[in-house]
Amino acid sequence: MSSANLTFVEEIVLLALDDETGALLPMPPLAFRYALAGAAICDLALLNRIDTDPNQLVVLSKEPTGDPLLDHALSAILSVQTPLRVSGWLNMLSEISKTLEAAALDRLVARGILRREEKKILWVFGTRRYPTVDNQERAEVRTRLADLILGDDLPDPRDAILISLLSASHLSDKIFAGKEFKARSERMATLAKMDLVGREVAGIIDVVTRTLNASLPIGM
Amino acid sequence: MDITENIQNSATVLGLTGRLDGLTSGTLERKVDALLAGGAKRIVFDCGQLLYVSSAGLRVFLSSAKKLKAAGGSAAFAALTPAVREVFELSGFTTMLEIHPDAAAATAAKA
Amino acid sequence: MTPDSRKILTLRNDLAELPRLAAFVDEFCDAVQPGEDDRMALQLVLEEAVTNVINHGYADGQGHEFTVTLQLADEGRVCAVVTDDAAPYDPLTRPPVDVEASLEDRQVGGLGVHLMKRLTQHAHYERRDGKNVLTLERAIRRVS
Repeated sequence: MSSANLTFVEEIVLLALDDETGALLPMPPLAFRYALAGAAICDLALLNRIDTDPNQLVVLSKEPTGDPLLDHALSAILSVQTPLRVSGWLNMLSEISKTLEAAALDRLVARGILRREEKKILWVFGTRRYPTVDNQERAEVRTRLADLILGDDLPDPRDAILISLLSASHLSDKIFAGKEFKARSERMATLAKMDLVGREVAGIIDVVTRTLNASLPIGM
Repeated sequence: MDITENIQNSATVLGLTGRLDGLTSGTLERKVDALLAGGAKRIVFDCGQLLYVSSAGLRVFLSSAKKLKAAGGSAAFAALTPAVREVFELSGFTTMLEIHPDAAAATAAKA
Repeated sequence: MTPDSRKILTLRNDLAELPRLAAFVDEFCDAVQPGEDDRMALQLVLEEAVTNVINHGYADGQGHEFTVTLQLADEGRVCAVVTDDAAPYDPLTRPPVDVEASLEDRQVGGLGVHLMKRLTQHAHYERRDGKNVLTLERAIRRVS
């Protein structure tokens, strides 16, 4: 099992889990699907398979990544012949989000970070802690992101992506909930803007909420 | 994308021409890493001829700025073309990074 | 896109086809340029309609094909028609889904008929020529 960085898909799945119960934290409708779709796009971008700008997603290389989870997402992207807007790609990939989620959970269990007990997913160590990787203690991602939010450092691109996806799916409200974070809402907003895919995820989640809240006459 | 390099006022000015995207960002990243390994403390990215920056390009800009800061140095971005400014504004880079109207102003500034 | 230009997608009865459906709807919307809410509504109702066909349509465990058509019926109205040749099945008469249950708890696309009716101005099922024909219409705001 690779000891490299977790994929963003795995990171988002981990961050979306309740500390105690291992259940998903509450999120707006379909938010988790879009966050996972965005995470997959960001993983493929960092592996130079795709690139994005505010208007489009471009395939740079069709070469499989060797990661079955990401290759599933890459295949889905390659199967669409026409250019879509980034939100279109998010919609398309949101349809495979359940597969991505299941694969990520399997992987996290295989890595020894989570365990399955009957139907539940639980933290192996009882608390949010990762086993030693590459002989280096890996700072628990939530602590690292908290420090980033409370401080004034430039984020590295990976952390910018994570914060952006967490903010988009409203997970950041749940994870970084204390008073000290409420005072840093502007910093949070600045960090969340920094990844363009995360911004698109935020936009589309807001549209879903708005669309579902709109009331129309019942169809005849 | 072409990269020119010269020293002005103790800063290394990298002139970028063309497109900074997933195909070219690796080249810039390697150039920055080499400069850092050589002890560079101030890098100015002259974007006057940069036609396009993608998300991959933004990531290299951000990671370069962070690496320089971690090494006790600083990065600055100069002469943003409209296309580059637009994407910098969208992503909030204009508030997070040091930006100047041209390379001369950037090299004159004390970081 | 001019009124009367119809786009047709042929799908297999497999949930793995849903990404193709999403891309088809998005491509149609890129041409028609409805508002964001309209775009999302079309995605959601078609995902629901197609998921119903895949999950409840064919009972023989075999692969089948069915179609989705999208058409700009006039300047402000999109008409979607889902046609399949499975046994008679009216998705509009399914029992109401518990709308309080979280969307994540439901299956992919399981937004429920309730929502499909709420997001369209017109939802109509008929059995025609041995086929289930579901017609959905939504008034849209064009923004181009």
